[in-house]
Amino acid sequence: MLSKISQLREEAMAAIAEADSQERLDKVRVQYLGKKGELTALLRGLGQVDPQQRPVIGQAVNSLRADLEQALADKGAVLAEQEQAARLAKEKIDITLPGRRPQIGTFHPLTIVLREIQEIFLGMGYEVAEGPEVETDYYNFEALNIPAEHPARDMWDTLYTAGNTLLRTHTSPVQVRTMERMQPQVPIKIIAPGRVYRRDALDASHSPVFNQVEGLVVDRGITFADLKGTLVLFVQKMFGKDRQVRFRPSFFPFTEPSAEVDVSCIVCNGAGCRLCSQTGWLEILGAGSVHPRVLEMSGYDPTVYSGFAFGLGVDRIALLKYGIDDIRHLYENNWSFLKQFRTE
Amino acid sequence: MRVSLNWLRQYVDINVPVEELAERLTMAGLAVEGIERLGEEITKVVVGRITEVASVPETDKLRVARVEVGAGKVLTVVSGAPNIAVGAKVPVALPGATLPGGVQIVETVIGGINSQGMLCSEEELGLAAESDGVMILPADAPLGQDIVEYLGLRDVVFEMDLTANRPDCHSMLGIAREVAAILATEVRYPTITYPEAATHTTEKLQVEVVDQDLCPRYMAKVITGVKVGPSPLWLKRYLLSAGMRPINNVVDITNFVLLEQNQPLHAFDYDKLIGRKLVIRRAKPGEKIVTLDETERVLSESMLVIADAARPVCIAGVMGGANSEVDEQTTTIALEAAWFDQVSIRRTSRSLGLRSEASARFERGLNPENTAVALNRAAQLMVELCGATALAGEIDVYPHPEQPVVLELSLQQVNGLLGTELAAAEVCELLGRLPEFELEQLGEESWRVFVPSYRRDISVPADLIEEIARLYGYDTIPSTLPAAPEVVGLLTPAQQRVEKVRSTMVSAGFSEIVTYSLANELSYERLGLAERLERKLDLVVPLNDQLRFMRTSMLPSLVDTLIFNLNRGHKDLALFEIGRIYLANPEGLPTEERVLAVGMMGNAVAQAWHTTPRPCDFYDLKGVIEVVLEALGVNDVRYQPGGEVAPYHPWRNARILWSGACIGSFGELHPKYVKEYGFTGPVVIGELNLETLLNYAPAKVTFQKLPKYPASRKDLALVLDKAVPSAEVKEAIRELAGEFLESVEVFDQYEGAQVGAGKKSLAFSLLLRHPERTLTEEEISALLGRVADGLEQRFAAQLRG
Repeated sequence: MLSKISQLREEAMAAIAEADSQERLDKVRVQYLGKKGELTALLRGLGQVDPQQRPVIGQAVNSLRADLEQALADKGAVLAEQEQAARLAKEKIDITLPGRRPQIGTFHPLTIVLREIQEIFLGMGYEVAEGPEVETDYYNFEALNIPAEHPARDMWDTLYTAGNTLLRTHTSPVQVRTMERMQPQVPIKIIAPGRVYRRDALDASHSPVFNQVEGLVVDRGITFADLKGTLVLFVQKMFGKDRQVRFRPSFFPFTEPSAEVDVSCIVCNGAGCRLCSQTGWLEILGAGSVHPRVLEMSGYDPTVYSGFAFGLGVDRIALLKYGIDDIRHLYENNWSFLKQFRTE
Repeated sequence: MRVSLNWLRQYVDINVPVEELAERLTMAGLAVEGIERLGEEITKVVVGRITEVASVPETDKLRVARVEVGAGKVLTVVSGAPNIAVGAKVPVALPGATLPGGVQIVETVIGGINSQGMLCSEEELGLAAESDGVMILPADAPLGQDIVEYLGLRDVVFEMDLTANRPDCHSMLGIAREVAAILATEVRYPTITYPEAATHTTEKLQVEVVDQDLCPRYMAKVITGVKVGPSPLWLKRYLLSAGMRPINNVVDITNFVLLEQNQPLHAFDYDKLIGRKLVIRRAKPGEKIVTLDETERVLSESMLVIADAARPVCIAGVMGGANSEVDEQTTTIALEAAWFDQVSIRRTSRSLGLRSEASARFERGLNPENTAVALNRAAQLMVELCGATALAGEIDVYPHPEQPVVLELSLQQVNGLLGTELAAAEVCELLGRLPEFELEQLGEESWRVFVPSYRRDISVPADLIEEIARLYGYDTIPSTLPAAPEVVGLLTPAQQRVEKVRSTMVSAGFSEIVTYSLANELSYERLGLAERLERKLDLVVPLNDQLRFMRTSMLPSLVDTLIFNLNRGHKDLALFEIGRIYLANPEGLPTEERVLAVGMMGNAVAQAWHTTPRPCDFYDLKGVIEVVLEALGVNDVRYQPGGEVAPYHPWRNARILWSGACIGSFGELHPKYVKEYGFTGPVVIGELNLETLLNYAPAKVTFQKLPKYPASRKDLALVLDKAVPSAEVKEAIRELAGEFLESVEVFDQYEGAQVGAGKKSLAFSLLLRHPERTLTEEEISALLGRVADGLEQRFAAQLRG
């Protein structure tokens, strides 16, 4: 009897090991453990066994049953895992196909550059002021110390509009409007971005419509040295820490002393190249201490208050920053151009 | 302004290298834009002497010369020049020589004779605009000497870019003063002495200044016995270096003085002046004059002329008249040095479209105290170079002399404005370097400064501080930051909202464009937007056909940008622009409004491996407008059919209404415009006026407790008349369902055979929730029954299976 049990164990264990699918394994289970299974039959035959031997044989059968159930469960788990793996393998996809992309647009490079400039000045505690693009002669010229018929007016080729108005030739009128609005409060610390207009023929480097950012600081004790420090900080944030900055005496009717601010060429680093016309320098800003007459006209006593102002061309900075060779690209909005700024 | 350093050295010593001088001038505010080296182009040209001349057989004009070129060397040279003669000293270009313009001289056969070089004319050496023969050198020119050395042709010319506040620097003496200040040295002014005749100018000439307002100072002097002829080489060379063409000694002298002294002069042929008289007066209306450029000019009363007893002989400060022009027969000259009103000259020159070297200078502004110096300098040169006799004295009409500018300045002012720590002595030293500036000590640290008349740009102490700063060196001034109290830089709420709109548009898949704010009528008419032209603000003089007035709508440039891209192969685009429109007002400034323009063309969903393409339509644009308005916290917007309104499809456009006003419109572009423009697929465009939206402050976000009880989602499918707008049904559901309705959305729309002609099916999904408990099935079905009954009554809507 015992030998029969041990033979059954061998057969059953071999059958379990051989089973290569859940289906086969179930058949094995039925064959041995089913109602008509071989082990069940063995149990049923237990009655005829010598009562003396019955406990020993009974224990052997039960142990075999337990072992077979465990082996069936183990094999079942292995087979389930294998079958799932096979099923998943059939679900394989080509992960190199492109994803379903949500559509995302791009910002215009002028916006990108303007936001960068704005960030820098907001960080230094400036506010952003705005003003009209269609202006009066007073705000565009007179209040900036450029009286009618003054030869300095030739510095701006003005577009006049019907009704005795004009298109502002610079963002400087916002200086005056801001001082009039704030007067007599100090400090004034603003930048004023916006469109400006000149009678220029459109070509690779000129556009009749372009963008400037004006800056104005008015307070007690503001010096030309403060202007220098501010603009050096700006230039190095905008163009990198290694940039050299040069202040050259110049002339604007609304600042005195006045300066042109040059930055060492971003291409040749000062050695001289085509971009900087071999000078090693790029002119990027006009600046100066606010002219006492301008302060006075806007209601600030120049013996008490002083200030500085500066203006820079956003278009020019965009051209320099991205190496764009033609200003017309900025206003044509060719998709081949616009999409290049997706990563900015 | 072109500045010859050879010439400049006549007035100031330059003890630094050329490059350093250029750099220091630039850093003192006189930008040197270019450095030109003269004479370097000429090599291997020497002084030669002609020893034999013979004609070349079988030619008309060619002759062959034997020329000594020094060191016993004799060359055979063929020349076509008419003026070659035995014994003449001439410049000879040797084989291998180079001439201006890159000309190379080689040994070559001319007329059958081997020519070993070339005899040079002034033109070929770059010394004259044209010549009619070889250049004849003085007899004492050393044989064989390099011509560049002999003629002193080596020179450096600075090309200078001067600022509008420094008219005085448009002259050699002006630059010399600057150089002296920069190098801390002295200016050498020319010594002006010459013999005068016994006869006084006033005996020969009468001057009457009628319109003194336009001519505050007028000086004249008569010169007799003038022999008009060519100028000496040095004079020609100086004029050429400045970019001026030598003409004859009289004209060249006036130009020389103009360049040296910054004072335009005019020479009249005295014998052509009727009545021996000069009258400075406004022109009579319609009066005419033929100017030196042989053009007849019609004058107006606002223009100042110099007339003789009968007629205008010169447009004051602008150009002389042909009727009094100096020519080769001229022997007596009336020489003028005047100070005209700069505004008047500017206007005259503008309205005549006539600019001259003189008018440009008068416009910029001149020194009224310099007329006498300039007049005498010219007289001296005419005596020296034209064999002339100067009559004694001069006429000077200057009834109201200009007052000199005197300013007070303190050390505290200087350091206070610059942020420097200069000592009083340093300030004195720096100001003292400026020629002719005089300082008077007021206190220990304050001065009275007498500004010389040549610096009419200096009128306030800040101007003096700039002088100190630029001589001290802008780069030497420290860099500091304003010691202002800590302030936070923030965008205003409206500015933040603009940026929010911009970012929302980009996240929604739209790309930003920037177009011109100037427009033309045609692009409005093409889109049927002629009405929008009513409030356009015109340019007085349009820039060109395209840019004529300030835009009143953002749509034309948007559509132009779409078609521009389509023509370049970009078919599917979603674009937007945030810009201004400008609406003219009857008076004053126009109204400027910020507007968002949005446009799409082609497919909204592109063909991809996972999807089929879908063309853009009305709802794409509506969706993005909804998203933008939501981002701005605006939720009570209504959309109203726009009807027949350009440039839209009459049945596929909407007006956007908010708090009682129309804030924009959008829709599909009318198929006729789609066709006219040549679009190949659908185009949807729209405008949203941002002005009121930006200034609107939406309710602040406050936290709502999260719901504790589950919601029930119930769907309601209705069949109703096709014409009923879904928004009205939705509104009715909201009203009928009452407080437990959390939200309601349309989730399906169907038209077709299943619902019958003229009908449509709308399916709504309702989310119902009680805040404090779960709604019972009875409550829900009662609520839905109420809604269904109400919808049946209002819209004859039938519940669908």
